[in-house]
Parts: sequence; C-alpha cells; structure tokens
Amino acid sequence: MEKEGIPTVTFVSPPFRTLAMRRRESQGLPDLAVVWVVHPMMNLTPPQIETLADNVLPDVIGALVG
Amino acid sequence: MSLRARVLEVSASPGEMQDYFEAQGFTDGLPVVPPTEDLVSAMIEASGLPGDSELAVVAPSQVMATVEKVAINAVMAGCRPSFMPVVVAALRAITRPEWNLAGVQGTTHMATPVIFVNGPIRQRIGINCSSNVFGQGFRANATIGRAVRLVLMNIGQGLPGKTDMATLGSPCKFTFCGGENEEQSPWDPYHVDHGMKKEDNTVMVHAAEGPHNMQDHGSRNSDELLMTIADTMNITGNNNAGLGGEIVVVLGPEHARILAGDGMSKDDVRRELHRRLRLELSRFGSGLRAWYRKRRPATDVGPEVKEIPYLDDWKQILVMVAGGPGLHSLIIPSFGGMSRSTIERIAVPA
Repeated sequence: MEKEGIPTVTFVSPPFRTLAMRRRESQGLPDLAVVWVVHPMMNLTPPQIETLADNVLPDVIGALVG
Repeated sequence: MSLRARVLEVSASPGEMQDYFEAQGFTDGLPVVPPTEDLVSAMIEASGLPGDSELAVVAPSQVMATVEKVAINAVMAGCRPSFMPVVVAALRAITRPEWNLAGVQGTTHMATPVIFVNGPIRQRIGINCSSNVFGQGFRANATIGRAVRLVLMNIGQGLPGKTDMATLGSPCKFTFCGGENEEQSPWDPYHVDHGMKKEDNTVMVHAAEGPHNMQDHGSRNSDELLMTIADTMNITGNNNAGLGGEIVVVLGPEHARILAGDGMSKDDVRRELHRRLRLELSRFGSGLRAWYRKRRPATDVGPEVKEIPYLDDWKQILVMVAGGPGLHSLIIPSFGGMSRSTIERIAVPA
C-alpha cells in the first residue's frame, strides 16, 4: 500500500522487531512507519483491542500526518 | 574456475574450523563441510549453469541467490555434485509466488519445505524412496533438504528468533526430502499426474508441518482404510483446520494397493477423503472460531451450520506413494491456505 502512495502504518510487537526491520529494508521501504504494540496481540478480547487502539492512536496519527 | 565469493582463511583444525563457522552464523547447528574452492567449483559445474547465473530472490533478505552462492551452501550441507540440480529445482519451486516463501520464513508456524523427488534421477543419485524414506541413512535425502535450509538461512537470512519466528520449529527444518516410490505404486507417479513424462525429473515442494503416522494393520478394503485416513487427517489444532490449504497424504505402498485393489484411482481417493473429512464447528471455541471467520470464508457461517468440509476443494489433498513394506502411511499437514505446493522440473545437464 505504501508503494502505491497510500500512507501506511504497520503494527509490530517487540518480539518481531528484527523481522519487521529487515523486511522493511529488504522491501525498499526503510522509512515505513511502525507503531509498537504490546505482545501478544493475536488473542486479545474486543475490549482489550479497543484499549490498545486508544493507546496507540496518537502514534498512528503522528506517523501518518506528523 | 574463478569464484566471486570472498576467500576466508580458517584454522586447519577441524574443531576450530567448525567453531569459526558456527560463530559466523553459517550453520544450522550441525558441523558443515568446508566449502573449498575445488568443491564449490565442482558443485557449480554439476548445475550446468554459470556460477553467476541468477536463480531466485530469497526472502526475507530479498538477496539474489546465484548458482555459486547456492553451490557453497550445497557443499556445506554435504551434497554430492550430482545432487545440485535437485537443490536448484527445489529453490526455484519455493520461490514461486504461490509458495509464499516470505510467509513461511517469518511465521510463528513450524512450516518448512518438504521436497518430493520424482523421475529416474532418484536411482541415479541415490534418493531413498522406500523403507525409512523420511528417516536417516541416505546422503541424498539428508543433504538436499539441508542444502535448501542453509540457503534459506545464509542467503535468505531466515534466522531463528530474529527473522524465522517459529514458536517451536520442527526437526524437519534440518532436512525433509524423499522420493516417490514409483516402482511400488499402483498408480501413475505424481509428476505424470501433472502433465510431465515418466522420464522427466521433478521436485514437488509443500510447506510442511511435521508428518503424522497412520497405522492400519486391520483394514482389508478401501472403505475401512479411508475411514482411518480421514479420521487421522481430521485435526483441530493445525493450520489446515481453520485456514484451509493443502495436505499431503503419503500412502505406504501396501495401503495404496488396498485402495487401488478396490478399483480406486488416485483422484477417487482424493475425492472420497474430501467427502469424508468434515469439520465439526463445535470443536472450535468461540475465540478461535472468530479468529478463523476473518481468515477462511468457509468458516463464516451461522449457528445453524454444525459442520463444513474440512478443506475447500478435493484437489487440496495431494497423494504420494512412498516408503517400504508395512501397513503404515502418513499425513503432512501444511502452513495452510497461505501457501500452495509447487512442482518444478529438474534440469539435469547432459
């Protein structure tokens, strides 16, 4: 999406930091915005997801328009 | 032959040499054969291609694998030069877009390439297709799969805990390679089913979970044997259950003959297994059910639906015949619908 000109944010949790950073480089997108989220995030309940979203929203907005 | 690779000066002591390779991160944890210039040159020559010819871009590093770089890894894995065309074909197979190497390399799942070899090259280079086909004891089986793993680590940079995020991994990630036992199969071999000639040489590569044995010493007809096979395939906690995709059924020759003896073709077996494989949705808790709903449309059904086909299509059941005497078969589930198996011709130099 970023390559198609659509401003994009990628959510990454800390254990996946190296993979995310290397993929970002190898895909030619070294400046792709990353927002860090808590791990694990795959099995959160809907209320936990809402809390997570509230917490990272400023980072997301900052990454997109900052 | 002049090589492009940097030449390293290392200790002649075998122990110190292996310690150095390990410290550099060149290995899969086992000792490797030192890739000397003469061994690498012989490996390149056996490919029938120039050393600098480009084979494929390997994820996640997106680095181009040249014949020379692959040859270095094949030497380190312990391959004979005659194995090199198989390694090259396997690399081509797993770098096709539908195989989704980037996904397989980075996933928390244990997926790893399982390489099935068809054609006369099996006998020529000593690929075991019979007893203990996926076990120890055969250099070609042991080192072809290992060479692909070293390529994935050293060129693709799939590094455990960094860029290869497998939660648990699998012993199959060291090597997982065997040949179809075409001579003992009651049906045409896999590659002939896919439009190749019997004398062609091919690899089929599947993004594999570990294999699971299916013992059935009692069934004397196809109906009973298929009951055992379908029930063994019907697992809740693997990627195929919720995410679809392919499952390889490796039939031992004696089981295959029971099915063929009742007049079943290979496609009859695949269709019948698909018909019998039903996924009872009550086996998923609500959390897992919701997770799958977003990922496999077939699971997105109302509460009145109690079960769905385990796989979306009978063609997602792939049948191979391998192994030796005995009434065992095995299943190899997969990474799921995110990867499709590929078949690739092995280019054997004249």
